[in-house]
Amino acid sequence: MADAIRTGFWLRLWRHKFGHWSMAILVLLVLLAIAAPVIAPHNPVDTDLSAVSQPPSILHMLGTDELGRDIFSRLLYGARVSLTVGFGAVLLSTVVGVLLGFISGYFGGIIDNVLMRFVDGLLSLPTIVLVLALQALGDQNIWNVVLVIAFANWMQTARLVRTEFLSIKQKPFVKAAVTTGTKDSNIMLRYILPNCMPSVIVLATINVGHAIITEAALSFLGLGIPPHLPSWGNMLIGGQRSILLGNWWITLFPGLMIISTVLAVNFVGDAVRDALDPLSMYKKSS
Amino acid sequence: MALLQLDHVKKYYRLHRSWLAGHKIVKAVDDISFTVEQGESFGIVGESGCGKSTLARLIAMIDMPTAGSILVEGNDIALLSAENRRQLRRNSQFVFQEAYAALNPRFSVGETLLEPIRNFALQQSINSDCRIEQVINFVGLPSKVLTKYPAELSGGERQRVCIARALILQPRFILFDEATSGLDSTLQSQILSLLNELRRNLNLTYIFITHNLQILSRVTDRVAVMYLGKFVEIIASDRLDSSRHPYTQELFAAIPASHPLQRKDTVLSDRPINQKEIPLSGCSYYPRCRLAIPKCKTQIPELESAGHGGLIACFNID
Repeated sequence: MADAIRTGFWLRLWRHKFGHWSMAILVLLVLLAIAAPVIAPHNPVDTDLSAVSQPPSILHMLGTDELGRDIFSRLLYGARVSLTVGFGAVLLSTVVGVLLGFISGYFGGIIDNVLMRFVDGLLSLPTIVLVLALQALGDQNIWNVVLVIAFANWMQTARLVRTEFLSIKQKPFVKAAVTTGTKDSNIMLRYILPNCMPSVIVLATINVGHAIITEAALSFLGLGIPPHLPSWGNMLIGGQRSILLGNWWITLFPGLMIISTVLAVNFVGDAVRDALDPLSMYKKSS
Repeated sequence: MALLQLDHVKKYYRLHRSWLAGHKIVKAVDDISFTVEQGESFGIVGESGCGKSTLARLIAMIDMPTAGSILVEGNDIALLSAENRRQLRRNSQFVFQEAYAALNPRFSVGETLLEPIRNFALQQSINSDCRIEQVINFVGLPSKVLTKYPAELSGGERQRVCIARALILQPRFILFDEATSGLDSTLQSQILSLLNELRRNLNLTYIFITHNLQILSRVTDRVAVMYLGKFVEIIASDRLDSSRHPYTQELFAAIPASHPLQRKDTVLSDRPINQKEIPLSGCSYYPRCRLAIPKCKTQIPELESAGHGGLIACFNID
């Protein structure tokens, strides 16, 4: 029976309107990022001063930037950084947030108070200040960026999960689980956690976009990954000056990549949330 | 040994009104004592807000009483460890109001019914598929609902799933809190008959909490009438006609007669029903009581045996 429900989940996920297109886009992006060395026609860091700021042509599919670097190749390599940061940071911050939110909701009392005041403190700082301060402590490498952005983003998830935990704990079906002799650990993992997931997933998909943009801001300020290495964010920001000169291709393509990734993640998040919700399945199938 | 014994049980809630006004104490259950023997069916009636469901939550070991003790099969539930209390639940099950909210929206009916079996690791000793099918058919549902989710069921079907969940472990004791209120009368009648039969065959013990007076005489042996947190009368179900407490009489007079010629002279109180009028001293019913005497205003009547074989808490019944 559990099997039937699980296959039902994948089926519902696949049937979601934009769900499978979005998943296809994400899979494609990941494959492109992995295969970057094979596909890229140019070296992404090589400058070519004889071909500065060229519009898209046969030689340079998506044009070149103001240092003559091939934009298409940089996008492919940039996908590695942006996707790693986007998904890595969100995955990490969500896991940490859910864990701490759960601990806070379950234990309550002093533990809850200490944790939530810590969260309050962190939330009162502007994200960029927090990120800058932390990043200044470490090296300029991508894993540090992931860690730092994750650290700046787990608080909202923790808050959300704590609130959901407390409200679900009071629901009659949890009381009913208690009276049928369900163990506490089971109630946490099989009754409360799955019912928290829809809102956690929505928040996580929003955070993917934030993480990609935060990485861009960091790189722009010279604290992210080294400036010569491409990421969608630093390509976008690096091209700002060229817009005024009419060199639209330098910012348009990285911008499109970010938009399509964030949109695809949002749709996949929607699809996963709906597929997890038996009620919405019922609405759609009837 | 009585299966369930309540001894001066109280449950008070503190309502925090404001920083200056301080707390207000709500006496949801106020000094209730009774025992239920193995094989007996006990009914609790009363109007909305009288504390019936709070009492149910205390017996269900969801809330702990403010004072007094609750003994289940001789064990004081306040003194048991969490694990021992969990083990005790195998023999006592509860059916709550709000059937929809009482079902995990992410579990299909089959999973919901498997849960109690898994909780006590009984998969080996009983054939769970067979038991689940047996129980779901018992409450009048086809086996195909087992793959459905609560959202796909009607209100009556959900209520029956809740009843099925309470029956699946074959407990010795079941508490029904308005368990049949959402069912149409034919189905309700059918389920009550089945529960009666089950009780006779397996010597089960029931507590029915309801405001539906008609079902009481069908399924219970004794009835306790509750008013604002207290029992005012305990009476054998087959002698409900001879009830003498003015509140019980008022309650039963409120049932519409099934034939115009059977209409009785109404003993309904013409005073307004106002929950805020809980008196500070004396019998909590006296502001509404048609038999009130000065003594009722100052002293609280205790449950005492009355002529009709039950217990009654009133100074002026003669």
